[in-house]
Amino acid sequence: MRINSIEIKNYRQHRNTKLDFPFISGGFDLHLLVAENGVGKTNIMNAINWCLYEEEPYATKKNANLPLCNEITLDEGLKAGHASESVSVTLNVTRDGKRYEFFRTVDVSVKDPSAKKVSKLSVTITPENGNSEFYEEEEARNVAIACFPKKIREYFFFDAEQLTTYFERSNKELSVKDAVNEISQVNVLSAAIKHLEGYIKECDKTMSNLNPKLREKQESVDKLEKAMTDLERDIDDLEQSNENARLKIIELDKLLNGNENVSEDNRRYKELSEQIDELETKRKGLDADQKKLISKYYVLLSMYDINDSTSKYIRDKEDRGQLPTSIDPEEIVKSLDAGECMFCKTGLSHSAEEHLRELLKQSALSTKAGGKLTEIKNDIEKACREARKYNEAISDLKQSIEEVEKEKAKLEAASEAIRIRLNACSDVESVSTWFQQKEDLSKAMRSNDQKIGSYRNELKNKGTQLEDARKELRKAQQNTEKCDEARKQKEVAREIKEIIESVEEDVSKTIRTNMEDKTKYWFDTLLWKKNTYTSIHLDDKYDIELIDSFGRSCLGSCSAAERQMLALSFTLALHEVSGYDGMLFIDTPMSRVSGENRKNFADVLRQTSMEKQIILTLTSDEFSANVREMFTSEYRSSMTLMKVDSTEKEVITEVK
Amino acid sequence: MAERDRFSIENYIYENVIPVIDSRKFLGLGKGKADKDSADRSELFFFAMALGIKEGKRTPLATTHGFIQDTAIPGIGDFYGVSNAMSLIYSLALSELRKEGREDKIHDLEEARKVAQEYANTGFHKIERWLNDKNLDEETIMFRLIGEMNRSTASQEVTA
Repeated sequence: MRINSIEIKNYRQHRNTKLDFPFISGGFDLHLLVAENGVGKTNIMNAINWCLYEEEPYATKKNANLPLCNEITLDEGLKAGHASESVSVTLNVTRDGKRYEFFRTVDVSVKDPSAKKVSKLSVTITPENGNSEFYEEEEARNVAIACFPKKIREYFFFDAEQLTTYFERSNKELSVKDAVNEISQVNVLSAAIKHLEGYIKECDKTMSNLNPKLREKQESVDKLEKAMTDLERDIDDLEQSNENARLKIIELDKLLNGNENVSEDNRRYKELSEQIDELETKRKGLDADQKKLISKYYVLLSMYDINDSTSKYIRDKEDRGQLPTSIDPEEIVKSLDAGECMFCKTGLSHSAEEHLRELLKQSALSTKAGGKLTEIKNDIEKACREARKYNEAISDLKQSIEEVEKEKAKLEAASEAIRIRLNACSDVESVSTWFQQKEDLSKAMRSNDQKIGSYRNELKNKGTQLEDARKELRKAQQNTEKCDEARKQKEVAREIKEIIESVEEDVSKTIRTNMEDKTKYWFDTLLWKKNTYTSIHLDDKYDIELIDSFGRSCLGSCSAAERQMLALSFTLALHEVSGYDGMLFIDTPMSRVSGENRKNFADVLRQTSMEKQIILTLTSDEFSANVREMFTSEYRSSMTLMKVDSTEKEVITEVK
Repeated sequence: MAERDRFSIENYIYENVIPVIDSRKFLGLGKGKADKDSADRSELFFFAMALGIKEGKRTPLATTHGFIQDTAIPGIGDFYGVSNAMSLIYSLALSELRKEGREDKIHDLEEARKVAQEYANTGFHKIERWLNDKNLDEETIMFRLIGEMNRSTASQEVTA
C-alpha cells in the first residue's frame, strides 16, 4: 500500500497544498518533504489522520486551539460575506491494485470558526480495470480503517519527535503486543479463538436448553410398558380364574340339583341357632339382673316400714324443734344431780330446778343422737323413695324377660321347622359345602369382574400415559441427536481452537524471535557504535530490553538518538516480520541523530524504500549535505520543498 | 368376742353356710375366689339382715367371726340408692331402741352393729335352711321372694 498523493485545502496553514508521491517501478519509493520548523510538516501527518479518522493526534496545544480552517481563508470569507468556508483533505492511495480516494470535508463557520461541525467522509474505489465504487459515512469509515488500521497507525505514521517515549506503554493507546498481533494479523487467530470460544459456549447452551433426559424418559416408558404388561397379565389371570369358576359352578349346580334349599335351610338353621344362643346369653344376663334386683329391693322393702317410721320420727323431732338439738339433756341431768348450774356454778333454786326438769322433758335426745338422726335423715328418705321404684323395676325386668322368652320361642319354632326339613336330606353337610363353594366362587367372580373393570380403566389410562411418554421419548431422542451433534461440533470447535491456540502461540513466538533478530539487525545497521549492545530481548508483552556488552539491561540509560533509532528499528522489523504491506510516514526522523548515526539512518531508510514507500519530513538541518547527497543521488526519489508565505499562514510547495 | 371394727356373723355360719353360698353363687350373692363380678360381702350381710327383719326376729350370735369391716359398709350405699348404707343400720337400730325407749343411744355404733348382726344371724339361719332343703331350688326361692315383695308393696303403702 502506498500514498499516491494528498491534496489539502484550507486545512490549517495549508490553503492549497498538493503533494504527489510518484512511484517508479524498480526505484526507491522515497519521498522527502523539506521545510523549516513551523512550516506545516507535522500538520501533513495530522491532515492524513484527520482525513482518515477525523483526529489530529500530532497536533500541538497551540494548533488544537486554532480553527481548523486556514485563517487567511476565513478572513477573506468574512470580507466576502461568506457564511462558511470549506476545509478538505483528499488522500489518494493504492492498495492491492485498487485506487482509493478518501475525501473528507467540513464547512467551518466564518463568524464562529471554533464551532463544532460534522465533517463528511467519502471514498471512491477504482479497480485497475473496472467501475468505481463510491462509499460514504459508515461504509467509508470502515474502508479507511481497513486500509489504515487505526489501532496501529503509529507504526506507519511515525512522529520521530515522540520516539523517545516510544516504548513507554502508558503513552500508547494500544500495547505493543496488541499492535504486533494486529499488524502481523495474529489477531485474526485470536479473533478465531474468541469466536470458537463463543461457539463452544453456544454449543453448551444448546445442549443445556435441549436437556433431553433421555434415560429418565426411557425409564418412564419402560415403567409404563411393564405396568401395562403386568395389568394385561393380571386381567388374563382374572379372566382365566373366572372361566374356571364358571365351569366349577356348572359342576356344582349339577350336584345341587334338587337340593337348592338345603344349603339355605342349613345356613338359616345355623343362623337361628346363633340367634337363640345370643338370646340365651341375654336371658342369663336378665337372670343375673333379677337376682341383683331381689338382693336390692328385698332389703329396701323389708326395711320400708322401719325406714318410713324412722323418717317420720325424725320429721316429728324437727317439727317439735328438737332437731337440731339446742340443749344437751346430759348437761341438764348433771346440773340437777349437782344442784348447781354446770355453766355458772351457782346453786339451783326451786324454780330453776323446775324449769330444768321441764326442759329435760322437751329435749329427749342428746346432741350426739340428734346429730346422728340429722346425718341419716336424707339417706332414709332416699331408701324409702328407692323402695317405691320396685314395682316399676320388676315390671321392666319381667317385660324384658318375657320379650326374650317370646323371641326365643319364636326362633326355636322356626329352627325346629328347618331342622325337620334338613332331616329329609341325606347329606346336608356336603350340600352346604357345595353351596358354599358356589357362593364363594360367585363372590370371587364378582370381585374379579370388578378388578378386571378397574384394571381395564387403569390400562386405558396407562395407555394414554404411555403414548405421551413415548412422544416425550421421541422428542428426547431428537434432542439427544441434536445434543450429540452440538457435542460433536463443540468437540471439533475445541480441537480447532486448540490447534489455532497452538498456531497462535507458535506464530507469536516466531514473530517475537524474528522481531528480536530484525530489531537487532536494524539497530546494528543504524548505530555507529557496533559493539556497545549485544542483544535485544522482547518479553511476552513485547516490552523491549536492550542488553549491553556487560549483559546489563540499559534501555533507560540510552541517549535520545539511540532510543529513536531503536524505535525505528523496531518499526522496520515489525513491518518486515509481519509482512504488513504498509507505508512509512516519518516526521523529522533525524532531528536527534547526528554524524555517523544520521548517515546510517538515511542509508537504512533509503534501502527500506526499495521495499516500501517512505515519506519523510525533514528540517533543513536534518537535510544535511551528506543526507542530501545520499537521498538525492537517486533520481527516483522525490523531494518537495515547503515554505510559508509572508503571512506565515500559507504553505507554498516546490517540487524538485 | 365381737371385734370392734367390723360386723360379725356366727362362727358356725361362717364355716358352714357361707362356703355353700359361695360355691352355689346363691342368688348371685356368693363370692368366688377369682370372681370379680361376684357380690360384695356387705350385700349378702344386708340381704340376710333383711330376711331377719322379715322374720321379725333377732337371733343373738352364739359365737362371732369377723365378717365385714365397718369401713366397707358405706361403699355399697350406691347399690341401695343412698349415700351411706350405714344409715340403714342406724335406722334399724333406732326402731329397736325406740321399743326400749333408748333412742338416745342411736349414735352408739356398738348398739347398732349388735342389732344388725342379730337380724342378719336370723337371716343366715334361714338361708341355711333353704340351702339344706333339697326340695327347694334357687328359682323357687326367687319366686317366693318376689312374691313376698309383691305382697309387701300391695299391703304397704310402698307405692304411694
